[in-house]
Amino acid sequence: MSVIQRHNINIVGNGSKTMVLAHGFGCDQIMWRFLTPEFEKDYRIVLFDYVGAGKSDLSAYNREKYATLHGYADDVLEIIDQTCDSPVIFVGHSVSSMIGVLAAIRKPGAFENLILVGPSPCYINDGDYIGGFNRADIDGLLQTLADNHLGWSKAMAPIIMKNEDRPELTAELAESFCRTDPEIAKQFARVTFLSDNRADLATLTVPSLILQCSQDSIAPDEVGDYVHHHVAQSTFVKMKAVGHCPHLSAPAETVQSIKRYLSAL
Amino acid sequence: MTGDSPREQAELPLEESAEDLYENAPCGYLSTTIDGRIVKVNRTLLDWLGYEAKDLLGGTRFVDLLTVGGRIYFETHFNLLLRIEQSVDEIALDIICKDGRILPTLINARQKRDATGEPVLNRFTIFNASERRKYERDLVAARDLLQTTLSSIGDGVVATDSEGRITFMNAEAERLSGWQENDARGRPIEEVLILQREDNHEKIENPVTHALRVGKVVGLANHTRLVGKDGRVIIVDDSASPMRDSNGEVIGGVLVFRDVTERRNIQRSLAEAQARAQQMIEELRRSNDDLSQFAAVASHDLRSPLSNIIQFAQLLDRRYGDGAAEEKQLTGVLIASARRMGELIEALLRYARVTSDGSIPSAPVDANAQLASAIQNLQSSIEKSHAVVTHDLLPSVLIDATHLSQIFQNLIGNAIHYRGLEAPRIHIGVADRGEMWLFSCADNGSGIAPEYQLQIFEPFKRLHGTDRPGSGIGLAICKKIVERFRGRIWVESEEGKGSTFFFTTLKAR
Repeated sequence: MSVIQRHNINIVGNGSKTMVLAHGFGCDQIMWRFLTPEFEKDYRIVLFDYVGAGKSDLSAYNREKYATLHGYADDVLEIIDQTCDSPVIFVGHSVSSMIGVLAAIRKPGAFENLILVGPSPCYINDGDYIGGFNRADIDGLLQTLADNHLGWSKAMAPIIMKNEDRPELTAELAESFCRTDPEIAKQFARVTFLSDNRADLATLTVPSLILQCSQDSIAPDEVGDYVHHHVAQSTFVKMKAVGHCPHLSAPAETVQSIKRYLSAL
Repeated sequence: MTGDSPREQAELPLEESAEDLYENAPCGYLSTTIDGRIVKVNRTLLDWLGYEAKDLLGGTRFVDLLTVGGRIYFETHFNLLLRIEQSVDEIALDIICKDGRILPTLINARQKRDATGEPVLNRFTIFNASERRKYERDLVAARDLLQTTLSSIGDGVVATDSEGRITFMNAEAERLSGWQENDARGRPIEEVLILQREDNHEKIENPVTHALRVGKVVGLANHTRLVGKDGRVIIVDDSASPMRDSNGEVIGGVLVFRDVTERRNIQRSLAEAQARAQQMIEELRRSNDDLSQFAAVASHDLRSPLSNIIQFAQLLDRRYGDGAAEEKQLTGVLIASARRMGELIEALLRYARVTSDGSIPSAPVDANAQLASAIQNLQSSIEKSHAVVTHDLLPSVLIDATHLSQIFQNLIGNAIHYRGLEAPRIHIGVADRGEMWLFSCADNGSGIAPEYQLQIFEPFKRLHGTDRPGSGIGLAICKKIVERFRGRIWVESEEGKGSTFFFTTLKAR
């Protein structure tokens, strides 16, 4: 199984520079669908699914490898190595922003910039540090995942939404959209929300842009500030966009923020 | 309705209105901006949650009403799906009421777009699902328990739908068949579990297919082999039954099977060992028969030349009888030796004639009668030696009558023969030893030294050399007879005080 198949890699657009778009917990590469049209004229865009998400190869899932975010960072480096000849612009949403940070610490030469959308190095409150959550909250998330995985057998993809009024999405697409194997989802949730990568931030040398949303209940303002203050060469942009997914709720503002940052370099 | 005319019905005012339906619908309605701020909420939901409209319409976001775990799920799953699909159905989320109570709900959502296709509004329909959600958790718990149970049991279990397509395989079934449940699910069971006859490897119908066809339990199929996905073959015992729903409709089938390869191998070796043992018994019997026959023929054929030797020796003796003393002595020795040889041949013949196969007589034999017969035969030596023979009241036994008499005769005969200084006193006793009778023959004779107590049961072993008459075959014959009838014979003896011979026989039932 090649890396391309393992991660369902899709490459679109033209440009001398490559932009790698990394989805977060709960979805797959489809979450970038409002962003890609805005960048594909100027960039070569690499889209992929993490193992366990979307149309990735579920058989490549390995509980030991993916017990920490480093397993995912290894995959990112492998994807870049297989698809790109020059340093990339890595756009990571949510947990992927930290995966990108870990990958860029490991191999700075592979990255030109990191765009961190709603990053959090640690979701759990710890002393003076405000992550926004405690352990019981994460147990609540796992229960909610379980409640919504009802009837999902191990192999069947959940078909959460019907597709009646979106004829442009093929049935095949709908079937795989944001599908995650329940067991994998559970472990990814734990790894995402219980990891603590605060100590890694200081060792990042690749310049980065932090996009902080308004009223983000997953990555609150304090967390964005924390990242900005602990990462050298970081640019902080507070967006008007509300929630945790500005690339979906406010694609225009998100595109504009990224373009402004990239053109100022 | 009784008596109401259509006209009267039409005049009743219609109580339903869109506004009233919205406010008091049997479900909660809530609308938010794309950012998630609540902009409209119905009475039903407010009542459920204990809020007033003004509490929620001042900028509260829908996610703020959710539990923290639900909020993460909403932001990482629900919202994304809604933005991309404009439509999300049946998501289970918990809403926190104003007083802190938790309202378990099921939520549907639609995204409203304007003329340019831009999303402008999210609409949520919220169903109170406290009971339903509880059932669901109970169901999941029950399913998990079932799963755990099925994966823990040692038998392979495969379930199919009514078409015979696999819906479930437990861990043991995966192990035995080499298939993974994920790969097997949805495939016809006939395609996954290849069953063949053990003898000619012909494919046989899967018991599940059979059970579905006849609607009945299909019992153990004997001599079935299962060809695994990787070609590995095992012998299986299996049974299948149709699964029925509460209406009795067949909704699927279930196959239970286990690996009996090991058991079958053991059975096979056992059968082989039995056959081998049987064969050896046959050979042994044949060789015994040959031996008996040989002994009989040999001793018979030896008798006539021997008889010639004796006759010619006697002739010599008569012819030269009045000759030199030395010649007379030589012919005497010759005749005595030849006669001794004749006796030995007779004894050998008697021993060989104990050919009984040990088959138990159909009717019990009265030991008293056989003892009496033995005493009768020994009458003259009893009288000569002034022997006194006493006995207990003897039981009936399962041993051939003639042979039993032969044993008594040999034992009593020996007791007289090897008597001590006093007149022989011989007692035949009997004791109960469970399945067996224990007979004893006690005497006051010369006794037997410990080192000879085993030897005396071997043919031609004599303790007293040739100084007393006797062939040395009597006890060997007794031993042969007793053992053929599943008994044992032995002696307990003290030199100078006497001997007691014991033997056991099967009791008559």
